[in-house]
Amino acid sequence: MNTVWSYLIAFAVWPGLLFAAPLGWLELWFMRKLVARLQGRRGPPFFQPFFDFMKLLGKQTVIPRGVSRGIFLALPLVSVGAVTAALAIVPLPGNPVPSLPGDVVLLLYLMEVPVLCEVLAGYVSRSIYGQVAAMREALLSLAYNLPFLVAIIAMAQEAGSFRMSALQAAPYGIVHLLAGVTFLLALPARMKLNPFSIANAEHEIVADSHIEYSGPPLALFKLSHAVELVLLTELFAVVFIPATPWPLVNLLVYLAAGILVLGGVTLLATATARLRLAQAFRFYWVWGGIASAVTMAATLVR
Amino acid sequence: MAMLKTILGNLLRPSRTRAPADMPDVPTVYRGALAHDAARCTACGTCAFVCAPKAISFTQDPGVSVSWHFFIGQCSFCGLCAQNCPTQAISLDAEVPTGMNSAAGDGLRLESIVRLQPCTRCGAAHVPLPDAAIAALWGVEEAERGYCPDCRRWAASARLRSAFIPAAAEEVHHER
Ligand code: SF4
Ligand code: SF4
Repeated sequence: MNTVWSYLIAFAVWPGLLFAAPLGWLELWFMRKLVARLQGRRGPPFFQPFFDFMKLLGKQTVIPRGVSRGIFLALPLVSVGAVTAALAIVPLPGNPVPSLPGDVVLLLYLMEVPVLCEVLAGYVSRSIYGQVAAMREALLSLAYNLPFLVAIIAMAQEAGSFRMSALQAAPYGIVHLLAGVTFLLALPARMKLNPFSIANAEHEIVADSHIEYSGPPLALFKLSHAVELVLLTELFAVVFIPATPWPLVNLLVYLAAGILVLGGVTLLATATARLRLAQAFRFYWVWGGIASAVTMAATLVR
Repeated sequence: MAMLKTILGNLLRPSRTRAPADMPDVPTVYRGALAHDAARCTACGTCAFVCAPKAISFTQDPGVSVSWHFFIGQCSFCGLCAQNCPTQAISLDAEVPTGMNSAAGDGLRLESIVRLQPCTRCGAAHVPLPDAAIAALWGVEEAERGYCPDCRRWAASARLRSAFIPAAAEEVHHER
């Protein structure tokens, strides 16, 4: 199989859109169901995230007056494209894409694109709510990216390479544990969950930065969020969970780990209330900073 | 920690929200969708008159029938129609109305056709009084049972006249 085809398949089929979208919906459903159960509610039916997506696809797209049509419609596409491309790089078992030197950097870059799209979406929408959300999102990303990036970079330092496959194969040690905790610290904010659901605080600013979006573009943003959930959980599993020699077992372990992580962050989200931006910022720069420092120190000590 | 205890407790308990299938019983005095009994209706129009949102209306096929119409999308379930109907032809069921969207015009619509009958004296088409009303007002074996309102008025004044002028009594006979 030539390389172009393998990239296309990785993007469109496995671990790309065709599998990531249903998996993302499954994970979304799991989170919503768990939140509902924790709150003593019944929760949505299994296909609800899919229904939501299909419903949005059938709705009218309204573009606010004075907003550039091209950029307004391009942002959700870019967001889905980038997050799917990022997922295509993650060396999940059966991923046809060869591991390239430096793909960790590419992955980290691609993972920033959806965040960037969201910030831009908020600003181009000309809605005051969208702009507040965009501002919050941008500031928050400055906070949670400290532990997030450090966790991955520490693993690269540990593995001695910026290659995903090297990170995956790195011999298990204390750095895995520390970096894993640091990564988990950043996860709730990356997923925009309580107590860091500051950019999508529906009680304060109505919605997140997609407030002016409707119809298919909004569906794409939601899809991008679903795929991002898969990406984040599977990235955690691939990098921090020790791999076995059997790909199929690996796959099951990764999926289980992903669900477990989601269960954890959902539990946290349900048990906590939203922080203010300054508090979240302080939390990430103090506690995230300490965790980052300890993790980096551990990679150097060895 | 107290919060954690609460939410984990919720996880173990059954859900507190109820599915449509196991909703609590509707109280008997609940005012739901209308039910109309065409056999009792005299098409007097009182219900349409008292209905503020105009949920009730009439159409007619002259000489043949009068139709009573109801559209739930306009009904406010105030119960005034049932309260004012002289023959108790309307009742508000305990049935909870299903989803409706009055802007789209969907939801329950009722139509009942009240057939006109020819007057047994003059032949004019009219809405017969319900049996129950006749029995209460005139007794069951009333000779004027099939009369239209005009003939009823005529018969009543004829009775009055014969009471004052007994000689005129012979003139009064019912052309059946
Ligand atoms: S339902 Fe009752 S109030 Fe309405 S027209 Fe018939 S008899 Fe009159
Ligand atoms: S219940 Fe009230 S609103 Fe409804 S049809 Fe009767 S009078 Fe009209």
